[in-house]
Amino acid sequence: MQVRKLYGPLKILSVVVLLLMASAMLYAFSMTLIHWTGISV
Amino acid sequence: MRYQSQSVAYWYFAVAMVLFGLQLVFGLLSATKYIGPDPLLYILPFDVTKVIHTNLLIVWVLTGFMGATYWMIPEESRTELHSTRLAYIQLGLWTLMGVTAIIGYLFRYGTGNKLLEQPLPHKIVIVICMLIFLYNVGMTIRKARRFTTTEAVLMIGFVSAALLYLPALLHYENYTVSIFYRWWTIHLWVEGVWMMIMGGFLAYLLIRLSGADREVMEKWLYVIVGLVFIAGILGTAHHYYWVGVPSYWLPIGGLFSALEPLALVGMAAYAYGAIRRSGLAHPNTLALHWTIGSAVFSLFGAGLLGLAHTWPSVNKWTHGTLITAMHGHAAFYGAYAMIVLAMISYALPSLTGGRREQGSTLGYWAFWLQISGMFGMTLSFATAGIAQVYLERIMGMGYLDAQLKIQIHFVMLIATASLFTVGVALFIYDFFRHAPRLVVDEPASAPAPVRSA
Repeated sequence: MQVRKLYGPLKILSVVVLLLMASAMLYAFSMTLIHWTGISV
Repeated sequence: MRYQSQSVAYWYFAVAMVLFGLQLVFGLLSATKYIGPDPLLYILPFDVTKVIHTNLLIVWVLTGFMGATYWMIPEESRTELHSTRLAYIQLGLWTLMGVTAIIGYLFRYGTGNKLLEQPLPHKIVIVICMLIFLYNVGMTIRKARRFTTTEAVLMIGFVSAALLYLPALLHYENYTVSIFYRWWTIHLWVEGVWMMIMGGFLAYLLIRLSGADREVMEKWLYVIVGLVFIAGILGTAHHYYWVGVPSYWLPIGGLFSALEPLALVGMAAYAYGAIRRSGLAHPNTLALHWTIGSAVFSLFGAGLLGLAHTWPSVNKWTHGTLITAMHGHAAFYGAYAMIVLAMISYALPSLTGGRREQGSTLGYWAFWLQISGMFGMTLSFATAGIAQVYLERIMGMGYLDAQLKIQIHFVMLIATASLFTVGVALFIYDFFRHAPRLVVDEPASAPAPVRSA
């Protein structure tokens, strides 16, 4: 079936999304560290 | 898998997984903006990231619902789908609509109506996709002449969801009128007809996973659906507090939305009772984790945390604060995300090769990390929300001054959201690491006797 050929591109897309998720986490942690001294209660 | 056409479900699940991952990216970007000055402010401002976050949630959950239905209907009706070609056309149109809507939001192309931001052309595509879906499933059931109660509840949920989207197609100049009708779609979806869809999937999974008798399970499904409707319809009024509508909506909203947890208590008891009485009749214990988890977490997130701020005398303080975000995250995850992940976990060993029926170690890590992460996120929103209510609503502090005081809770939010993200990443990785094996591995049984719902 032709749709099977979609697995490769979708798998690559999933890796891109996983990398974006890791980048978003890294970005959030970086911002937390950068602004740490300004965070008070 | 018993029917070849069930393989359609794999592609719906795959698209849903990609969109789920993207939803978390925009969620993390939104949370980061509470921490301090954001370098992405002028590229991806909060209103854009939040709209994409919430819209991706609705789109991926609906994609998961449709995939799960294409998996479930052939098994329940014991026949192939009416048309796999239509199902693929629908998926293509649906994905195109979702992707272009997100690109549009990046350029501020949207209606600005909260949760219904889709521009009119996109809304029309949504309606077309829903019609294709209902036609395809309806024709499958008609061809089979076998219509179970579980299917009936599921289909009433989908038909009602399509009908309730119609008010969203109209534009209202008056803001109060716009809010009034917005909740006909959003509330009656998530606290009404989507609960029927969830109930349908829950019943299907419990019948398959436990040794519970179908007649008994479907009888209790009627009771739960009844409870959803008794409370859910007039419970819409809890969105009408202080939005410019007459004050008689206050007691109506308070009374009926306080009754809404009854259906969720029923669902949790239903799931627990099925397993306790009948035991496990299927090796897929990972799907069982997600199924029971969904029933219990929705009782916590939708039931208890909804009840916590639904009464008008409480909501006058909490209205429009982070308390709503606390309830929204836990409720949507428990009721809808988890039931989709349960259906995926149940179907995946049949749709892919080289996978254990019991679920993989990664799968269990994904489950527990997501549960822990979402529980932590809910507590973060709760602590931030309680402080926000006290500072803003009781002490009279300005919005931005109060936000500075509660920043520390957003550090906790980012930490726990990261835990959740790792859990979702493991689920996505586990989903894609085995190639699909879309072949029938178990012959379908002989035609079933005709039975109406």
